[in-house]
Amino acid sequence: VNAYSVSLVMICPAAAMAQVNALGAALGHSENEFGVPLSPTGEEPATHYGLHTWATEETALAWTEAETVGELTPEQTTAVRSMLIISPSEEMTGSDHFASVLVDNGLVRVESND
Amino acid sequence: MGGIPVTIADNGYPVTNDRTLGLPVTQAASGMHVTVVDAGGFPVAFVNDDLSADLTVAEGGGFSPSQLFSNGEAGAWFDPSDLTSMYQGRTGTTAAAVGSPVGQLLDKSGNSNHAVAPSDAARPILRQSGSLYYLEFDGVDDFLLTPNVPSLDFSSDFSLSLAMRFTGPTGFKAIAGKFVSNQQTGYDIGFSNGVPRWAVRGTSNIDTGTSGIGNQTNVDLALILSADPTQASREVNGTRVDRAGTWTAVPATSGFAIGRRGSDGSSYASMRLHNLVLRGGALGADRERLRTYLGSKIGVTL
Repeated sequence: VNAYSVSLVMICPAAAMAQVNALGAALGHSENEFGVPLSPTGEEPATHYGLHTWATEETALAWTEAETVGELTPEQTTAVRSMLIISPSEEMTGSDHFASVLVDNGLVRVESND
Repeated sequence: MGGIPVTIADNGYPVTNDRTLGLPVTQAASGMHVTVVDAGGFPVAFVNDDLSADLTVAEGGGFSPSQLFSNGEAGAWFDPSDLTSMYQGRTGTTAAAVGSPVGQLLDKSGNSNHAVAPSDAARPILRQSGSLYYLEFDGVDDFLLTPNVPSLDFSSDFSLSLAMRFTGPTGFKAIAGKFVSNQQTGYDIGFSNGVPRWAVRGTSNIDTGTSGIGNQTNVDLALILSADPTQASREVNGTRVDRAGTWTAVPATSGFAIGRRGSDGSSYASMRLHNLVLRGGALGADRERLRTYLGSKIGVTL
């Protein structure tokens, strides 16, 4: 049985990173989860940040449906969640899933130099 | 009850007699795995006329990549077939299991260059196919990173060897490296439209480009990449292509990354990683043993 069966893509507006990271931290994740810079043209600056992960159903539900997360109120989690693009899938694979969500939302990976 | 005929054929090494093993089984043996380790240090080749058995050959008992580090050589060895060398948590908590993410991959070379995922989302997944194990990198944001240590900056002979499968997509996709793109320092391996491309960099570079090797997408590979100040070489499943040049190294201010190349976060490969050996010094006669070992990790006799 593969418990990590949900392909989960999430995209966060750059302006909302602080709030989203707070939700992520309340769920037990790091502050670096959204590691893929994105923009409508692929040019800097990044307007959004994305991630892909294989998640358990429990983790996916925590991101998508949980009303109370840590010390955040239901209103706060709802507000944060409204800023996120969240796409769980049990059909698509990781990179194909991520590419599909980018196309649907008019975003491209920023090819930045470090 | 019956027996499965297994013949150990002449494999090019000092095997003078074929031996037939009658392995007792109590029921149909489809899917059964047989592991044979020969005493001479090399895998044996099987002749199997009974297709009811699924035979798998383990690496020879006489060679382990740990031997490449027995004199204190610099480098790292990552072995996803050793489940005790992986943890789900990025801080080394919870043993990895098939189907779980891997947040920490221990270096088995003795150099303690352990590789760690920078986030939970960056963790690859441990998969199993038959008797083989590999880390599946998603090609989006999965990578593992060692600390930035000077011992992994090489300025003369060294090699980076992988048992792996590149699964896409097209374009340039980074596999591994200790590389800083805006300084053009360090070294990196990537696939350009499915062709492995290897570069060592500094004040003068050698970039093998893609010539001489075809598209290797979705092919199980034993890949040995080596370099010295006068050439960089790619060896794919025993076929070697050299590229002459001049390499004058400059250390890269990055850890060694697997899944992308150093600090360059713009390119990630979808891949299966079965094994990785990074090692300072010329391989010499160990190249053959290492090739055979890597082949065993992808189920190919080399």
